[in-house]
Amino acid sequence: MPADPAMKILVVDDMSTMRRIVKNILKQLGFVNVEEAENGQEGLAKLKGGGFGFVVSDWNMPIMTGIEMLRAIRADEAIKTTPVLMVTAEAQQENLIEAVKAGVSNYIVKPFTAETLQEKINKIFP
Amino acid sequence: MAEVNTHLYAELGELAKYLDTTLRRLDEAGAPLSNMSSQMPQAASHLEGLTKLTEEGTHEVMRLTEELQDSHALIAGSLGKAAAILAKGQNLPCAACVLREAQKPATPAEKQALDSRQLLAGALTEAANGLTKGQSGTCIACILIDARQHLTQDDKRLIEIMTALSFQDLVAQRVKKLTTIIHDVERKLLELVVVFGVQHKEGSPEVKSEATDMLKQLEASNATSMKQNLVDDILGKFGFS
Repeated sequence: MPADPAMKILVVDDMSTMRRIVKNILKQLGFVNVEEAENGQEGLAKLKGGGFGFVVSDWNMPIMTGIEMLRAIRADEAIKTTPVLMVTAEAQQENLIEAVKAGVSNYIVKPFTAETLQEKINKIFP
Repeated sequence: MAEVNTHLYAELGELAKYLDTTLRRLDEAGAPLSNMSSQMPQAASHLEGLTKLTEEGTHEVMRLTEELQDSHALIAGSLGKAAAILAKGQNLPCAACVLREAQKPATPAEKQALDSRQLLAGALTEAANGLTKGQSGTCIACILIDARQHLTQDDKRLIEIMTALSFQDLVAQRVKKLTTIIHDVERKLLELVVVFGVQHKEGSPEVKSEATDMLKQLEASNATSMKQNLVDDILGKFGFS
């Protein structure tokens, strides 16, 4: 099912500039209902609040990393089906495999373009 | 007994000399150590400042870029409206245009032909009729004037972006200061090495620290990091379409 432009999206990144860049690209792609979280713990709390249809997350963050948050999402019955796209500077093969094993929906390495983000969203929501 | 005492005095003499030399060396080392301890927080403060500076500069550029994006969306919408009006052949002067015309000073010929009050009255009547029909600001002339105003604002924003990018200069200046501090600390560490005669022993165990680990991670990421197309290939092997 194609992505609903009104879908609530959560952007999780410890760098405010990166959150803003991702949010801006999502806006250009037509998604205006975007919320932010500074780390995995904050992101998980927001997700448990309900209503989110998609998560875009960084890997390296303080308090709770992106991969830890991904595992927590997949282990939670209420939110385990939420698609999670990792956007990260962690570009090692073992990181990618770890993310796939943890149940990532897709994976983008930084630096990335708006086209790449759109392509991945289209793959997640065909 | 006398021989033992002589030997003991000689040993004590050597010990006193060693203590004196060590104290002098410690005094010599004290100044560089004291300088270094005051410089390191300074360097850390500079680094924190750099983070803040780059973050603020980037936010400013992004704010202006977002305003440009919004403005371009408005211009595109306006031009779309103008094209639709042209396509329908309905380009009637709107109320705003009529009012603008009325505000223009009349030519001497117009003055002779018409009393200015009559001109204004006529224009206002036309404007009122236009407003009743909901035509205010909807003719091609108004749309283009509106678009031109947006473009003028965009020019200002582009200049502001150029100005905002000057944060790079400030960053460069601070980096220069940091480099100076690092060189100074390096020189003082060398002085300490000379004073205490510290030497690297062959086969001595490597000191494990967070910095060492991070350096290794950085080196590893340089050597083995993947590009997006390789990531996609691997994802494909895992069944990602």
